[in-house]
Amino acid sequence: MKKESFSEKTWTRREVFRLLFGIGFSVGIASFVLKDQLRKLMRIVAGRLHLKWGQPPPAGSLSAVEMQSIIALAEVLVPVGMLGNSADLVRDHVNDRTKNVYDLREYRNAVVRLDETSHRIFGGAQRFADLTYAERDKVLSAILWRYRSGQYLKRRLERMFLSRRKLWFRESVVKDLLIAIFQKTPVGWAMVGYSHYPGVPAVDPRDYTKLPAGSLMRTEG
Amino acid sequence: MDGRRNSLEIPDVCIIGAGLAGGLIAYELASKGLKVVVLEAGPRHDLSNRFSDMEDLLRHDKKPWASNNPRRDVYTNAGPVEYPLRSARVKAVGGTTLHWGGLAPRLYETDFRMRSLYGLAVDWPITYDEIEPYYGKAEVALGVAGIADNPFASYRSSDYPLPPFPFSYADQVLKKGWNKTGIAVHSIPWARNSVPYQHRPACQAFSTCGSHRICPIVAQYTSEGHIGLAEKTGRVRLIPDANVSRINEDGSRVTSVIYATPDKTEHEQGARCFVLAAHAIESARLLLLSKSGRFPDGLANSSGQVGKNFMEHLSVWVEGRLKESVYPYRIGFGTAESHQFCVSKKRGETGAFKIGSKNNAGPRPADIVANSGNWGVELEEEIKELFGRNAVIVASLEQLPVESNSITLDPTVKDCFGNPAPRITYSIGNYERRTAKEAVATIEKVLDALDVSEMMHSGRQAADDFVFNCHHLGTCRMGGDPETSVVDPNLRAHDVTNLFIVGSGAFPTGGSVQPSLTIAALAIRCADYITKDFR
Repeated sequence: MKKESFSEKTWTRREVFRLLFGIGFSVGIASFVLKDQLRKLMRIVAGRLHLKWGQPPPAGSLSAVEMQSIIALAEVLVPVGMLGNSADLVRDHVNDRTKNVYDLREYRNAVVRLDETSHRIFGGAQRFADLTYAERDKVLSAILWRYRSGQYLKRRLERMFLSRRKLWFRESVVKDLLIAIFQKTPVGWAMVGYSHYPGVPAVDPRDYTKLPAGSLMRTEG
Repeated sequence: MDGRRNSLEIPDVCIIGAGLAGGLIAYELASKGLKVVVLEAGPRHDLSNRFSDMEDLLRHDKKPWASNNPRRDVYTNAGPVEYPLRSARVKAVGGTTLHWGGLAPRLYETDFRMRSLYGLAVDWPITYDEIEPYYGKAEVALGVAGIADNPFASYRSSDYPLPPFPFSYADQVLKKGWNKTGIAVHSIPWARNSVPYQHRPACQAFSTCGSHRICPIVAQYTSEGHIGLAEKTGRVRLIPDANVSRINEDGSRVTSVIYATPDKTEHEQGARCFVLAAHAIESARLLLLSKSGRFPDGLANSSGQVGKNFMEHLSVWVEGRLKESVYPYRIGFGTAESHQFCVSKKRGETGAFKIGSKNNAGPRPADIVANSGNWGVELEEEIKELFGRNAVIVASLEQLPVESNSITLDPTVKDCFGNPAPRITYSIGNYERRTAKEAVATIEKVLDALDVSEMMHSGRQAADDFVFNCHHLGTCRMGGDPETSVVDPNLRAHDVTNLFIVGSGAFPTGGSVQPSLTIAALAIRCADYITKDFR
């Protein structure tokens, strides 16, 4: 019995649906996997056609209002009230970091994103910096996923499903602020009850032989 | 004079290298009235900048001892194992003591007699008894803090000059595991001030000496101190940024060295006696660069042993998760070790190793943050759960000397002065791999006794990957027979009467403990010999 060729084939509705679904699914997966390559291709095409692509590099530095939003973000990255005077160190770090135009752009984009998300959730004309700690936490939770170190699958899924701009927000701003807070301020060590840590001398040089004064006394149950 | 300039009036001794050995010898000779010139390839760092250096390192990851001239320090690898030389050495006044760990144990009697006792490698041409008095002098010179609580230690005739550092809280907790497995632990001798000493303050637990290799208050010994003391005698001149490229001889004696300054101007420095203290790799390289009619294979190399028998102390570690926090990162160095397996074992099949715990185990809060997607209270909870409950026990292994592990001159790659770069041929043998397996099994027993969970090893498989300790040993080894060694028991070159080669390159075997105190002891002994020679 002669087999029907593709052009002679009579398609049922189910077969058409399956075919379209398969093509759409494959294109979707390929887009995620190949998005960087696709983006590169689009830039090349835009360049050839002399189309404008992306924003021009920014100039200057963060304004006082923008910095206020960044510090407000830094405050919500640690438990309430914990940033305290370390905000000055964070400010210095951000000023230093944003001398690079790409980091300046990411920080400015972060301020815009935080304000837009605040408007969307809470309405009105309130800026992110004017919200309470709990409200700011809610705004951040609307942008980013939460995962623990070791939750590699969730981290991978976030990278697949979050937009590129949100991922840059996480890596270039949120992660940068967190690492600055934990490497350049005493906040991280205060979380584990340490007043003495690498770079800061002990009041009692033999402190290391005893439980720390603010010890957590945690054991596994 | 073909563009070179005679640098100075002829001193008694010219020392090449201002590291641990060079600094000590300069001081010892100057104290005894000799005039000394010290040539150091690297710069002189300002001690008063040490605090800001630490801040730069902590906040901006700016390494203060990074080479200021990578083309000068170029090297190549030719063996099956890539040896990471760049991170290991420091070319500057102070040398490797600028970034060393500070451990100052003695070698054991058995380490000096590998051939006689185990039929392996070679014996040293001197015994432990002959070097013992100099170990005592070296401990005083470096300011070693310790106590004679090591039940495996060889005989000692003098006490430690400084009191010991007590066990950390972590080591007190881990002691339960040691005790259950019948392994005796003891304190560690450190070249670090437990009390003020030699015009340096006592350690104030900045905790940056271990992980970041810098002490902001110079409580840890560096040979910059002895260089400074030597200069104060008025009989020592230090010339930094002086890269020696050749040692000249006239058939029986070394007559001068040629060195270049950063502007590539060549200078010639003569002396009556020369001490090569450029560390194992560079010393071998200089000898190989100094070929002549009488020494076609390199100066003092009639034995063919220059550059050969390069050894290292490899490490393996195992990490486990404890049920309780041990509050690490409050002191930058370990406080407990066991040298039980340095001596009380037969070394025919597997080698000696020492084991000790680290006081900086597990992730810091910043490390947890780098991998977490949390923030706020959730992040705080995560940090509190993950921080402080790790135990890491490290084993340092001995390596046997083999001729194929060697330093030669690269035929094509040259440094910025046009001299062939050192080429390292390095491999790890079955003896070391068997030793590593035994060490890992021993550590696992200790961690099992502590009821840890989630054991992790250095490398994907236990004992498969090693950590380098950057102890460069064996390239100009000492011996009684000029056919099989480069220097005699007094570190004088067999072939050249006024050339001494000091440092760990002279070690015939390496044992399993840090070499620095032995380097210092041999340097002081050599200085004594040179002084008697002059008289």
